Amino acid sequence: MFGIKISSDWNISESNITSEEIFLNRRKFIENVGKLGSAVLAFSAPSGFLIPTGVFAENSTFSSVTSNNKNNLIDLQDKVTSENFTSRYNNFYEFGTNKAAISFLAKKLQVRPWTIKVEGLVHKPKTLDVDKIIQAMPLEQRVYRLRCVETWSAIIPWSGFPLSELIKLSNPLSTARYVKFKTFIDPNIAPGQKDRFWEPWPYVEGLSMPEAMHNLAFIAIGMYGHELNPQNGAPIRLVVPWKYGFKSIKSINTIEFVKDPPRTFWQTVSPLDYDFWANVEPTVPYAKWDQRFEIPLGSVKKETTMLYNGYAAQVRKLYS
Amino acid sequence: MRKEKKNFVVCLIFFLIQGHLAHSMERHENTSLIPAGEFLMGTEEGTKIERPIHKVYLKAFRISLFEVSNREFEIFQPKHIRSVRSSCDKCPVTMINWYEAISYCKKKNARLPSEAEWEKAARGPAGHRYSFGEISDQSKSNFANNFELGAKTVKAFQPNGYGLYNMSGNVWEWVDDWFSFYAKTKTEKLRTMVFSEKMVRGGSWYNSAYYINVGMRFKLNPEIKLNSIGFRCAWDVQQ
Repeated sequence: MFGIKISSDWNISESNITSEEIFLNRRKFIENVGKLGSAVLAFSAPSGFLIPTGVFAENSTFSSVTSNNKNNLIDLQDKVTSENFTSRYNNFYEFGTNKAAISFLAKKLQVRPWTIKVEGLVHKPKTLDVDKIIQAMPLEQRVYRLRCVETWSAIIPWSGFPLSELIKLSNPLSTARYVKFKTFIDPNIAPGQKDRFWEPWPYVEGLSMPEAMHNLAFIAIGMYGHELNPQNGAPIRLVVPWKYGFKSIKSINTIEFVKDPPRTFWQTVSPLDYDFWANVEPTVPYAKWDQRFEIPLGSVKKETTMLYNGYAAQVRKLYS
Repeated sequence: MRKEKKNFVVCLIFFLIQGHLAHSMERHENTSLIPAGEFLMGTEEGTKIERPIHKVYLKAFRISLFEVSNREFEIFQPKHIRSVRSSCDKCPVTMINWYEAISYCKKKNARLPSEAEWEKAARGPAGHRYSFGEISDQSKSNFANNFELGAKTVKAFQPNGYGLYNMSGNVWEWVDDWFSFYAKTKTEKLRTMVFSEKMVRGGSWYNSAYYINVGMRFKLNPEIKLNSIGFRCAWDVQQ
């Protein structure tokens, strides 16, 4: 089993959101990943993969993790999000526009084997197997707020690693200014890509390099202690908690380093409504929604949306 | 007097014949004659709406070599507003719905091609996957490009084996048919009856290779106008 690093002030208490059953599932998931990691260690070390200390450490327990897990930003008592909501109310346009049907339709997505192409302004383009990436990364748990542009929100415990680690592994050139992410394209399994044939598939998102290297930018491979569900972006997705949810692209299969801001899916579809940055700014109406308030999944009560979704202290410098 | 009358009648007949021939030639100018015969319609590379591959017999027909251009369409409908993604005179007209497309073709004594006619013509005599051949090749057609690049002129790239341009890529093309399944089970037949979508074919400049496979089928409400959908006309051939 590996050690899980959770210590930052932005982290939200897992004890508030995790049932015993989920906790036990998490232990199993972590143990399995740990076993895989040990098996690949011999492979990964010589090839330049990052092997952070602590990933394969012994005697790490969930309780020791949670004891260090303090949320100094927001009191989340009675504001937890059940996985029943986050796994059954999904935006994943590749599979259609009916949020309630995505979890069923996305089961067709084959998440293994899965590779990620690294291309563009890099020293050496490559194609990486997702499991080899996961095994080489400093896995940790993070609990983030998610704010959808449609004004609903959730609090989700993710498993994964900092995006900055994947960028280091990708070894971009100094001329790279932006990172472009793409997801899969397969209209035969993704009915949204067939029925909405006129959309600019595949889904594309992007971050500036400073954003991508920020400590909060996260690559998730799991949630609630288990591997990601297909409807939540399996096998590997982006999580950028200070931006609207659509920036957190699901099921990534290509990472391209580029000089100019990539044109994103939503910018192409609706350029007057969407910009590249899409930071959560409650005083600025975005797309067709007033962004001052949000309704947490599972709740009927509106809450005030926070600047940068509550992560202003961490990310404000990026934009000043 | 009698001789003058005779000359007048001869001249009249001459001009009528010439006019008919000219009209006929104009009709056939920039069209390709697709011979009568069977072809294999559908593809196993798609979903259940493209399956099964089946033989279809078609009578001979003519089809335009090119997508209808902005300039051609605006003679018929001067108030048409061009898409910025297909804005030149010789670029394919887009932002037109299915009803506007059939109206234009009717003015030309033509019609929209049926789905089967479109697919047979697009496959060419060799029955290819893409109008330009079997292998996806961006040098041979306008597809898989950035959305911002837009459509190219209707004469861009090389024609297929029937002489037709841009059947794969550039802009989608409306065809005449309502959606229905090829293979009709009882349930599908029932579902077919309530469908209210027309078919579009061929993909556009920003779609990937999947979409420009000429066997792939896509359906859309006929009232919708999109900046990537155009059309071309077809004509019956007198047997």
